[in-house]
Amino acid sequence: MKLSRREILKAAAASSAMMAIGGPFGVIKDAAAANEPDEWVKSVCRFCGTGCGVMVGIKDGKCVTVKGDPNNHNAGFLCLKGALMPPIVYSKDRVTRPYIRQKGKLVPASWDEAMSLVEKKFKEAVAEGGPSAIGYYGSGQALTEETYLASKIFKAGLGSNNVEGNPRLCMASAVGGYVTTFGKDEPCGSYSDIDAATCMMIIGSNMSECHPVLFKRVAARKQADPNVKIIVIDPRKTNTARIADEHVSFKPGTDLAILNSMAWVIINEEFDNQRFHSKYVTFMTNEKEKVDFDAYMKFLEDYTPEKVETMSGVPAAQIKTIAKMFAEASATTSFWCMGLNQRIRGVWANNLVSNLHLLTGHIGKTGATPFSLTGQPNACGGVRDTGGLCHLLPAGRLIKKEAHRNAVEKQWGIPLGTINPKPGLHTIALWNAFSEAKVKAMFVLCTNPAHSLPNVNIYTEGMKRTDNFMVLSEPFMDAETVKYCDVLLPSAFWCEKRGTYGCSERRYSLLKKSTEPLGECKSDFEILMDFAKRMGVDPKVVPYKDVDDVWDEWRQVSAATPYNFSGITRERMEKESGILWPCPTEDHPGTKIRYVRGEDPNIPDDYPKKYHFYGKPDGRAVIWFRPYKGAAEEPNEEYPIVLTTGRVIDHWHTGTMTMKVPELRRSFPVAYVEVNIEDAKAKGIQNGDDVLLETKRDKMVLKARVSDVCRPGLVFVPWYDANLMINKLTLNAIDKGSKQPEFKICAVKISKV
Amino acid sequence: MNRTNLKISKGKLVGFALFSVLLMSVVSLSQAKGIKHLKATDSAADCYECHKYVTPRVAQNWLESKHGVQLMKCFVCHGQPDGKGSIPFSVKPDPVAVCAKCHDPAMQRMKEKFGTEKGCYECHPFHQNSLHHDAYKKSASKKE
Amino acid sequence: MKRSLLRIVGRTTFAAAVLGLVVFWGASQVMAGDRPVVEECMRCHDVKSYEYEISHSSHAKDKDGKAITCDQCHDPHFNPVTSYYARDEYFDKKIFQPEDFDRMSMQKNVQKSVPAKKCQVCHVDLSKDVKGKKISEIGQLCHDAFEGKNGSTRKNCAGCHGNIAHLPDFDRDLTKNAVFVKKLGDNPMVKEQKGGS
Repeated sequence: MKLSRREILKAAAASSAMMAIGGPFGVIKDAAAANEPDEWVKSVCRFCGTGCGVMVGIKDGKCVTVKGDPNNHNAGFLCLKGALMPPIVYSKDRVTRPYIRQKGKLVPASWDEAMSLVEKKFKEAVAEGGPSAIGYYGSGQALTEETYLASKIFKAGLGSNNVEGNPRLCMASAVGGYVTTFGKDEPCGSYSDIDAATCMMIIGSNMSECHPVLFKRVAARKQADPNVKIIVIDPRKTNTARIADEHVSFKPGTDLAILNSMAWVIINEEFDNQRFHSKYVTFMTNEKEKVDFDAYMKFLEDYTPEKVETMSGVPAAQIKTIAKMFAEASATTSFWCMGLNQRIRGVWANNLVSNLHLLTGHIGKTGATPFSLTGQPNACGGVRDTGGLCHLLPAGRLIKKEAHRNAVEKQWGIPLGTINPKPGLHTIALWNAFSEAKVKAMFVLCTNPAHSLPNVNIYTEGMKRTDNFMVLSEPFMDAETVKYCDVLLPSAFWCEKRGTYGCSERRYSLLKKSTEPLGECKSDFEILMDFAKRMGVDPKVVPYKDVDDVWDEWRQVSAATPYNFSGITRERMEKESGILWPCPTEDHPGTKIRYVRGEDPNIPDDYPKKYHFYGKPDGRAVIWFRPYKGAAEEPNEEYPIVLTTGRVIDHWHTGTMTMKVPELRRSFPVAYVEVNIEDAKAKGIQNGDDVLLETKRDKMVLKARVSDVCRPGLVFVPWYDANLMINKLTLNAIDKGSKQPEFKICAVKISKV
Repeated sequence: MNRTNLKISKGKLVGFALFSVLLMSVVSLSQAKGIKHLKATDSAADCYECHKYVTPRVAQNWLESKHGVQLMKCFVCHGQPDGKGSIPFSVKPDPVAVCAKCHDPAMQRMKEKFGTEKGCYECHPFHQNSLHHDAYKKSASKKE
Repeated sequence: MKRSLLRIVGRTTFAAAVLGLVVFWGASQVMAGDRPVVEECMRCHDVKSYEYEISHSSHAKDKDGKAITCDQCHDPHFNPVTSYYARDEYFDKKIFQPEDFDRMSMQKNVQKSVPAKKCQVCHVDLSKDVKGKKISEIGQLCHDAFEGKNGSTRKNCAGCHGNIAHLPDFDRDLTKNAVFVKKLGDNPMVKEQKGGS
């Protein structure tokens, strides 16, 4: 047989084609097709204070997938936690029915049985000790309507101002900072400022792990314009520092000195904006004495770069560099979070950042703003704005001021004098009182205090007492606080209920209900309404048939204040993807910049000055002379190392949600201690070794991760692990102004086991 | 000199072709079988910690890419190779199921512009859009 | 008549070739015997920059402090398996000008040509390093895969542990090589290399 070349080639081609069909790397289309949703329902991510819009993919009534909301500020992007939310909803650890504790064990009960017991215990507590013997501890993760309702029930319905929430542990210092500097809470800029900033200072924040989608926006800004300068001030060299032009590592606690030193450099290099601060700033000493700019310069003489180098370990040259970077840029935005807030000088630290912006005039312009990052998805909208703290009333009003109380009473249509004039107990005081059974009944909602309170052993001991009573509304059976509650109520979770979240940038967005609650779960709105009814709260105080009624009332209550978001109607929230307050009318687009004429609707168009810090009687913001003062528990000879705690990107807070996602759980299944390479060498500690950590309060063994992330003299432990709760070792000292605990610094000693 | 014709019988040729196909299938199948991912323990399941040694170039590309800087970790797109994850494992994730979670707006725009259902990978070097200090260049897929 | 002559010629040539190979191999073994290995290799293979790299690597010396020589990893000359992997370089005759190598395209083949049993001369127990210290949990998982106890791999030792002796410039940005890069420093011998960039 004669074979031509052509035929041979054909045969070869045929056989190689057959080979190409196989191969292990085929694209898996089947799984995707099987899970294609029937509809997409608009919502907001359950996690951090970035507040990404999320579209929940529903198939056959179940949440099967998520994607980012293209119309919200995140433009469709999510972080790894947000992208993996669906399995959490259907976790086998979901609490699906009420429980009552009998003889130490939680026994299933009916709603009526459980709520009757709650009613009985709360009424007994009030009979015995008055309204101050009961308390409510809520959350920056509860919906706005839920917190507004709870606060109103207790303050207006039951006469108790013991209404607190976990934002006291995270944002109170930021509130204190903004209120003392500007007279009003909440940032004056928005996320849009990132896209225009030419310098961004990130201090006390591991933004890449704690606000990932915002960090993405910062990194994208730098990629778009490499001349944008990023300054990261953190004693840890975190992933955030990867994009930094200057990473400033300092002795923990000395950041106050560094910020004052930056101000010294700015003034001495003539970078301050004289025109701005002479017109719009009041200079006040720490003793609340009004002084002048010369007094400020004199105050700062204690903070020359050379002096601060000695106390902080930061080279004087670097302080000068970052101060110049900050001041010389055309638009500088600062971001900060728990590194500054969770300190006994938290309010002061917040003031000092705002000082730099007021000194340089980097405020009220697109790209220039002091932006406090909020940790939780609804600490702003839910707790801060609705006044869900022991000293607050809705829209920034204060319980201690009679005029404020009366204004709120009028708006609520209740008799003047209903609200107790004495502010309630703040979180640490409240839990101290509960631990001593002075507060006898606590309603805990959507938070996990047996894991998240500092120096937590005191409080879990207190929870074990039989002469106090705790009812807990919680979606997950494995939350630490479940071990101590007397009644456990099954809470509807995230996409199973409707309501509002208000994120860091003053954006109020609607979470639509997209699935039915599991088992016997009820929304916290329903639970609280039932509680109010049973407690005999005047129905006029709680005239709501659903959350939309609550929203409508709150919207109208805000109209009398600079929060005025009466233009954010439910209809608009359904159509749009979040609106920034103030928003006084239905056709108002929302406010990106506050305190500036033409941007802030609270300022009339004919106001004579461009800036009006209307929170202060004279319209001027305040530069406070805040001195450097160390931490409550500085390292000493016996405990020579600083212990700091924080988060990792894969886990949210106490891990009750993220540990349900296998990918996230396996990424960080257990807690560890991050040790500096030099410290490890000195102690003979190698990667993976067991290390004993001891503070004055407790001790714990953790596996070491040796790296150059922490600076020498510092160790870091993440707090997501319920089996290795680092809060047993932390300190519950608080900021005198904000009452926020100092989670970030305590003294520890480490040794190889 | 005469050109020599190949003196091979048809039968022998067919036999040879079938044999080579069989051989190549066996080789490729056995290669496919050889790629059996190890079962990670729960305490050592971080893909990057192994893959920075096993597949260093891919790992480095990821680390320096936008996904790496923003900590969009491996498992978000690829799942878990031992099948214990909440999303299915794939070496080449399906764009509709995976990429669209974050990139849906861009994918919609591409669809409108080019009317195509091309896979993302045909243009976007997803592991290689570098943010590494002085390499702030646009990826190959973005033309000026 | 013609056919049988052809057969004799063919078979003689074949025998001569085999004999020649054996003699050459034997001679190269004998001749190498009385000179330091590295110097001997470098008579033909001008590998000064490669020598610089390894002398700054973790494999410059073994656990007893003795210098590690080329032949402890590389299989010199006429091992049919390793020669197969080096075939491209044989055909291009570049083996005598290694500075011109396209190290990037060669890397995979070179790694395949370093047999696992040569590593195992020192690294006997894969659960410990040469100094007897237990390896990390992740390392143990990888070695279990290598031994087929937990999953499997297609790679030999050098396939995963590349860059332990030589470090071409295109691998100097990998995080796993940070320490090695630091040791190499700024020597002009390794600063700019021809081929694969």
